Amino acid sequence: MTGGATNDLSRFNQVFFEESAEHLAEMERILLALDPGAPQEDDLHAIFRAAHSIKGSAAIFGFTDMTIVTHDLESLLDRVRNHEIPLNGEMIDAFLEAGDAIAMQLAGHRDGADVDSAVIERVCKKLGALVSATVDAGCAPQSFPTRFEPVTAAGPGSPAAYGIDFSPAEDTFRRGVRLENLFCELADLGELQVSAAIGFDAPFNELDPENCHTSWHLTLESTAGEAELRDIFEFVAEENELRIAALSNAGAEGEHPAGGATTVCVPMDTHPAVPERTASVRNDAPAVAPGRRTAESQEGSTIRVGVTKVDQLINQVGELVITQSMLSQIAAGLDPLLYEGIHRGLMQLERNTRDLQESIMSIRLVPISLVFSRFPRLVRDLSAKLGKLVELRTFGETTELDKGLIEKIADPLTHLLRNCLDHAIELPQVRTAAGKDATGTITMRAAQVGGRIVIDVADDGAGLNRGKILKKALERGGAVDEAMADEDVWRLIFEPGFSTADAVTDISGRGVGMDVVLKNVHAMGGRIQVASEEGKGCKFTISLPLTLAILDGLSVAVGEERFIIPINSIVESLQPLAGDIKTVGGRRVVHVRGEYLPLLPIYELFNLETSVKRPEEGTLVLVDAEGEKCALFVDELLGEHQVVIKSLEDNYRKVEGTAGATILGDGRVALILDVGGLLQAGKRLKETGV
Amino acid sequence: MQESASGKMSIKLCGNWSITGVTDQLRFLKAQLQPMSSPNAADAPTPGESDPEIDVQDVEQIDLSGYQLLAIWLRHLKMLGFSPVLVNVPETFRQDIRFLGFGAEFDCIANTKGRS
Repeated sequence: MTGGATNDLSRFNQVFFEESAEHLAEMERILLALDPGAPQEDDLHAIFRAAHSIKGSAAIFGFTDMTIVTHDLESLLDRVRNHEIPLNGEMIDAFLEAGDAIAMQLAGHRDGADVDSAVIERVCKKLGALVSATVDAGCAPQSFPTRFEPVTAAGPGSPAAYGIDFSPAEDTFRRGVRLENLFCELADLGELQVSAAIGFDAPFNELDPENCHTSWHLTLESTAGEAELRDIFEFVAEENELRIAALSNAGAEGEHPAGGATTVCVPMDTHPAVPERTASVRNDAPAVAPGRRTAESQEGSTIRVGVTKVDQLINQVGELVITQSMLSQIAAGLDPLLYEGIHRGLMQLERNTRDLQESIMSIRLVPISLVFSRFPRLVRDLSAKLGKLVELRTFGETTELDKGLIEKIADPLTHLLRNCLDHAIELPQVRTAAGKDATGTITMRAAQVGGRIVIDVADDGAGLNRGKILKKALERGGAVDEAMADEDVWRLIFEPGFSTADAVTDISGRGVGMDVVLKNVHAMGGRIQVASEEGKGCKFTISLPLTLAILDGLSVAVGEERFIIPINSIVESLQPLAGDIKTVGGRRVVHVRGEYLPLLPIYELFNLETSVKRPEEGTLVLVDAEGEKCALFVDELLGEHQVVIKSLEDNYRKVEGTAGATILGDGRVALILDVGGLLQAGKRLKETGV
Repeated sequence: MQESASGKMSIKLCGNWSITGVTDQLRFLKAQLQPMSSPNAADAPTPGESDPEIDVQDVEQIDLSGYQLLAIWLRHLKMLGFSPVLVNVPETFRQDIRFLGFGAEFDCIANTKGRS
């Protein structure tokens, strides 16, 4: 009946899914960095702990299928970390495959994705075969010094008897911990006897049935070591809730451990004969139950909050920013002397609103390492498959960007990386013949530049082949010529279906992808630039907005309309003299301190009516978009605002050259200018002769 | 609460005795305990004369929290002088009790067997 009894643990499932995914990612990260010849002790323990955590939680949450692979994985890992068998490259491959299999099972439970049972079976067989092979090769446990041998008077392999006193915390049932499973795991290890003692003596009316009032004394005769027993309790018991003692001579004499008063309990933690064990066990078993916080860890602890709740909070803060802005605008018309208190209060409100907004926005920011961390595995697997030697270098992993962007940027980056591996990096012999290092390098770098996140994917491979791209474009009927600027030629690779690959592989080359990369990056409000030098390498630079919700902007007037220019794009503003405005190649430019910058009249770009048509009558706002500068010609500057970005696409349609819209303090709608987009639009205006 | 043909008081336990149901079951048990804790009431059951027979056949699911609750309740009945007897106990229920170490608390299981 117990087996059929189910607690409603579904509300905790999400936590399990997230934690397991984190454990898998951590395991993979360490495995990829592991040197099979000289693995670090800490790394081996960390991998084991990750596998064990998944197994323990899966058992508690009832995902028993996940415990099968994790058990096999854990068994092999346990022997490796205990130096019973040496680690090798084949094992690392098997561990990685096991991680993939567990991830597949996890996705099956989380998303209802298909789980290929043949893969699970193959992985289990592989892990089992590795254990068998090492045993056959004379790597049996007793051949190596074992750190966690059970304390017993009997010889190695003989069962030892343990007395286990277990007093679970009061909230054990409420946390969804199924002690039944724990007892089952113990029973799997040997002969188990259980005795419960209920410690509730108060009146029945005072009973809280969801609290655990029971403690247990268990006796176990098993060949398992103390560490293995403690591992079983790892997610259930704090150190002070568990006492494991060896019952001396019980195993050797065949006496039942709980049989009589003649047995002597020796607390393992203080056993004088095995001083090393105490340290090892402590390193190994942090014994912090899931969902429980130790006193020491409370300060640095975290809580998991649904993204929708955070988004709701961001929306509410956005509305607050608009309200505050409206109040400021109304107060601007009040006499500062007569209404000094109101003005002071509103200034304070503005500061507080800004602080609140920054705090809230930071909740959604997550490090890009969440995406970067998946690439070492990709590079490892693909480079092996392609017979190439590739080193991946990542920089700026702590750079934070919006969680929504993190999820969307993963696919484009993966595609760029696959292309680098398949097409850009040459085979070792080709590289050597070209005087390069046999090992190619791919560098991924993230950084915050102004108000944007810039991510570079660069390689030191062959670079883009200009001639080949032009030839292919011509074959496809494109309007191209030899005189085209490099920048324009590189842009051709983003055309749908464009590919210069000689052979289509299962990695890339079908011409499907770069257009999707561009589309995805655009959908995030981002841009992508390409720089390439034949024979030396290629660099893709993706620029993304830092956040999708609020920005600091300068409001400007053009005719009757209002626009917002993001502050972080603005270099300066000026009123030009008539002599500063020139026409170069049919294009109007402004001369600023020896530099000629293209001039973009906003009224022309948006087809607006205005009386200010000559630059010297209005104002030029010099802006910078990823290194490219231009001058936006507007009627006048109005003031600096913090604005809440509202999607135009969601509410109307995409408007070229804009990054959204906002509601101003007076209730008017203003378009937020996308400076990079305007630059592109300006170029097209010139090309079409408008 | 019903009186059986043998003159014993019969209490049928049913439903969910897992962590998600024990709070509801506590209310039920308190209600059952109420008349037994009021010996001066006219219709109060008397220890020895109307000892309760507790039928667990219809318990649909039960976990450790349920066994603990039932054990504490049985303990209180005994403290009031009653000698409760568990009847129609499924085999899985018996196995669980043994496996979880509650044997001493459930020494009042009758030899009759319920469905497994």
